[in-house]
Amino acid sequence: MNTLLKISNLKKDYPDFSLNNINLDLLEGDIMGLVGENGAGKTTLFKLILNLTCYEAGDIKIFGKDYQNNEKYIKNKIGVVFDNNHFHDLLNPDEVGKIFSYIYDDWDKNNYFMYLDKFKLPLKTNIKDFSKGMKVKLSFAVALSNNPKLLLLDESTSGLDPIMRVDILDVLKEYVEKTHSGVLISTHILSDVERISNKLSFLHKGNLLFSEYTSEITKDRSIESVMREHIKGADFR
Amino acid sequence: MKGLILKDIIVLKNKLKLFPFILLGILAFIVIYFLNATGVLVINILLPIFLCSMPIPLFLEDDKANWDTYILSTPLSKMKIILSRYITSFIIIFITLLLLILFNLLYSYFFAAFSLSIHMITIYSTFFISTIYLSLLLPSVYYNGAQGGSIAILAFILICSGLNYLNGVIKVNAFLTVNPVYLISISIAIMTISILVSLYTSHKIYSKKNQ
Repeated sequence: MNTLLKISNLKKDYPDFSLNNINLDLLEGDIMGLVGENGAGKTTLFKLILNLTCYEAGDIKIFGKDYQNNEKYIKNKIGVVFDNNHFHDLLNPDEVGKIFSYIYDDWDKNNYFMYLDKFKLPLKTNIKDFSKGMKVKLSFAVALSNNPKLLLLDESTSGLDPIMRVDILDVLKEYVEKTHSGVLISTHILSDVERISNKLSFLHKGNLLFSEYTSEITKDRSIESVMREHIKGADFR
Repeated sequence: MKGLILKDIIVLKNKLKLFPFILLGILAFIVIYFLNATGVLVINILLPIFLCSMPIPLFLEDDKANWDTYILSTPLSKMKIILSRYITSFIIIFITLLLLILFNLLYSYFFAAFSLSIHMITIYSTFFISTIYLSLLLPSVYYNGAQGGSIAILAFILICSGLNYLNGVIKVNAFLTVNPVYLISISIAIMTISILVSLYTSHKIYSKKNQ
């Protein structure tokens, strides 16, 4: 299986926070849950993966390439959903589709309309009249319509009711199984991780405490107890 | 880039209300009614300069949606993002100028008070002024947000006052006796340089903001 995302010895320093020695491997078909408390460094890690900020040391390779000279190629194959809606209130899903068809090389119009239909989103209603759940669904429809090989989801399902969350997670799982793509999903909701992730990474105060297969972690303990043990160990050190 | 230009045009179309434009039309009609051909020349100058500020609501809408974080995660480069905003702004100016050319042609055909060339010179001068104003406005808005609009107007007034002062010192009017071909060539060179400097500055500001 090909490696979609490889992070090696990554280091990023801010005046009051630093991300230290991060190592991650995401293969085709992997859904990796990234968990950690607020301020653990999850969003910083996403920004680094998306080349939205620079790092002090280490290396990030996506589809075996780095961002230097390959940014357009890489970003054409990535789908992103952030925690907040980023589409203008004055647009409607039909207009959003037209706009993004010019932005991504591999935009699949039929797929986009299929997801709008699946999520029961109206084509001509302005986004300002959407509920939070509908906005998240629209973000997913956009993120999945350029046939991404790697999906980056930053707290994208937080704030949704459980039924809507399950709906979206099931669509995500189905997409990964069908396309052999990979997903890195950051969340506070452990049940989401247990539902779809085959790998789990835990960030605590800028340090990656573990990154393992979920089945290994939950063999004889709950995710929560493993996290507590690691926090104790890390804070003791 | 095409996608961003389309986005800007759709957002503008959905944001702008018809009422201010009707008001503007009535105002233009009153000015032309009382000042006749001079009124047309006044409209030729003021209308495009007024419409230069139309990109400011686009910046506000982008800020409201936190659009920059999202769009930077797509395959578009920072330069393309900036360039698309410049293109949208100039599309607005070009459409306005085209409509003005059409109106001036009709006006001078039916009510020829001044020669057509006077009308066309005013429109070209307005194009020059609008280009310089936009070159100041866009980096200023990238740096200061919506407030950048007021700063750009201040800078623009300062430049105009400076030129007026220079008029007394080095007789800027003397330029009017220069061959028009040279004047047009010089003005095109000034516009090109100001757009390039403006684009470079906006790119620097945008890159620094989104690091």
